[in-house]
Amino acid sequence: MSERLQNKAQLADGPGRLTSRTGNLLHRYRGLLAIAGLLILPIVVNQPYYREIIGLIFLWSAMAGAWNIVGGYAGKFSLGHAAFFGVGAYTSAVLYTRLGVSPWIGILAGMVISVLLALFIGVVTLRLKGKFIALVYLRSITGGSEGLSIPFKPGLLNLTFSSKLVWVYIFCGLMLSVYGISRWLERSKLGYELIALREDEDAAEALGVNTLWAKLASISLSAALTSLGGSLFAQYFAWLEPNFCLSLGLSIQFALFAIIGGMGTAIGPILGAALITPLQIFLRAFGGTATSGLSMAVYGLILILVVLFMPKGIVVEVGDRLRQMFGRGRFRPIPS
Amino acid sequence: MNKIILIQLLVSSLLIGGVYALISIGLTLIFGVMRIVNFAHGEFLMLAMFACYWMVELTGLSPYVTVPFVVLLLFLFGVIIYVLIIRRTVGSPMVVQIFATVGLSLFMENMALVLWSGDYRTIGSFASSAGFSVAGIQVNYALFIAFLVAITVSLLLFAFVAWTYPGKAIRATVQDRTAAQLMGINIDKVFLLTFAIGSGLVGIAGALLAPSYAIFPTVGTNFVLAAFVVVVLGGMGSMTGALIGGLLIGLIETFSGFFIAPELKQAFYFIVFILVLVFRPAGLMGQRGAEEIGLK
Repeated sequence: MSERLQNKAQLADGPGRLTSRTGNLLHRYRGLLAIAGLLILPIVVNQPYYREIIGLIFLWSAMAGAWNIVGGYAGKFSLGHAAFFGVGAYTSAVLYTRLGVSPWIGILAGMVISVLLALFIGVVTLRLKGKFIALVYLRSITGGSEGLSIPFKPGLLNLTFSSKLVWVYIFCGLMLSVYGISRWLERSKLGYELIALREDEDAAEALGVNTLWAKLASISLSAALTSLGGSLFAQYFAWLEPNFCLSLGLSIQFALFAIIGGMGTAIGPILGAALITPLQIFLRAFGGTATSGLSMAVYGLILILVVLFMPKGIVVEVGDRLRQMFGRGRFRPIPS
Repeated sequence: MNKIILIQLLVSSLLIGGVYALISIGLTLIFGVMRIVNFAHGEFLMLAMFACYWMVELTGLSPYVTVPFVVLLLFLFGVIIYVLIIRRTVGSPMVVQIFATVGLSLFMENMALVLWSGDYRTIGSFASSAGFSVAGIQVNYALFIAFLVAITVSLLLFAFVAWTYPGKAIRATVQDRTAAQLMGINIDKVFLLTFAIGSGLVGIAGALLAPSYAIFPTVGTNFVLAAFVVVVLGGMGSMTGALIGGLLIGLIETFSGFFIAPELKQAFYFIVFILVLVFRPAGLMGQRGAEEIGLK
């Protein structure tokens, strides 16, 4: 990351002063390079443990990115995104285990249900101009505490693979898709409308933005992506627990990654997840059940510190500092 | 339908409703004055219950003797949290206000898990199961005491806000923050006092609930879910609303639990919550628009 920033900082001095031609090439193809790096990374890291961590980082970045569409761009903070995740996970898993429906269809079914749920919640809560969506309450409808396990039958049709590597790439693809969607959103009419209504809902409406439509579109998009992630998660772990999949903790985690990385930026959620996921896994590895709460407690502490002292997120704040140090760069997230 | 059963259900719902009201009044007071939703309210309740538990465990006192100490403790805890965290969030963007207390909630719940483990603990008290009966109606001592205290404390709080100088300062701040400041009211002190009183109230609730409920790190979430519905139902920021809302939720919970299924009570909260949001977003006693800016 810092390398990229420095590259940009160099460029910022103007093309005429750029001494290295390779630097220019690097900069032009940085997107391709980043993707190539992401694709090679799981092959280079051949220990299953670290590979799994990388896969999880990809998955959680994607989920944080999906949260960011509503929370970051539209400024509607949801504390119930785990509901969409759980709907995705359970829809595909239940259809597959009980009725033998291919997970591919289950994924679509989960996304449809999640979007319907999102529209329902959206129509109900977004009517309020109040700024938080108390989706918290959602988790209560789907009670029951039975776990659900998915039988291991490898195959493309069953969306079950014996190789973890395939999963790492699937999660990588998911993350890149969410990133791509976010970048597209930033330049689309919908994206501008969302940012306008985040900054001042009444003003946006007065200027002709159909705020209800924009909000519903963003929450549906976000819910569908979250549901997709949930279904994939279910197929990957082959074991579901409502205590996890529908928990408030998970909802907060999605938000946390995005906030720590930088809300309203496409890259923020990815960096947030990359920063926090390893921390979480190492904290868990430290203690047994006695300290299982420790990682969540640390999350809480980090969340408090970040919102109090770096409210724009680590990425944006550090980016700002670097920009000050190296002159103006092109690293400019949408101001919030 | 037996008449006795009906009256019994009414009495039970009033008792539990009083407790909900007590928890909700602190929440709604803080919201009404500071326009900050304390998402860690449930964890404050949990802390109060644990405080009561440890005082009883270590000293062998009756849980009811510990009430003043628990209230004092929570009051001071509220002061500390205000100074460390909440003060910095006043006037900040929404994301800061929401996620600072969400983070606090996460932190407290999991620190409790680390320190005191996830075991269910109970205070062996005379009142936990004992009760008295009036004309065939069973009344649980612990809940009865909690109900009486809830009503008394609510009335005292109304009196405090209505007639004392700090109470008037609080009301002035609610009506117009800037004007209050121009009149020489120290807003920071008002907020500090409000937050501490809100915490103290939840301290009372925690100490009174400790004898009748199992105590564990996530206990707060169960109650605060109801409290949020109560606050939205009553109208955010309205203390009378919280009292009435608490009693109503008690009714809904007891009757749905008896006639339909006790496991579904949270689903019923949710339905009530949605219905209120759809038909009367300002709540029963709230003013239109109050859900956003917190008028009273």
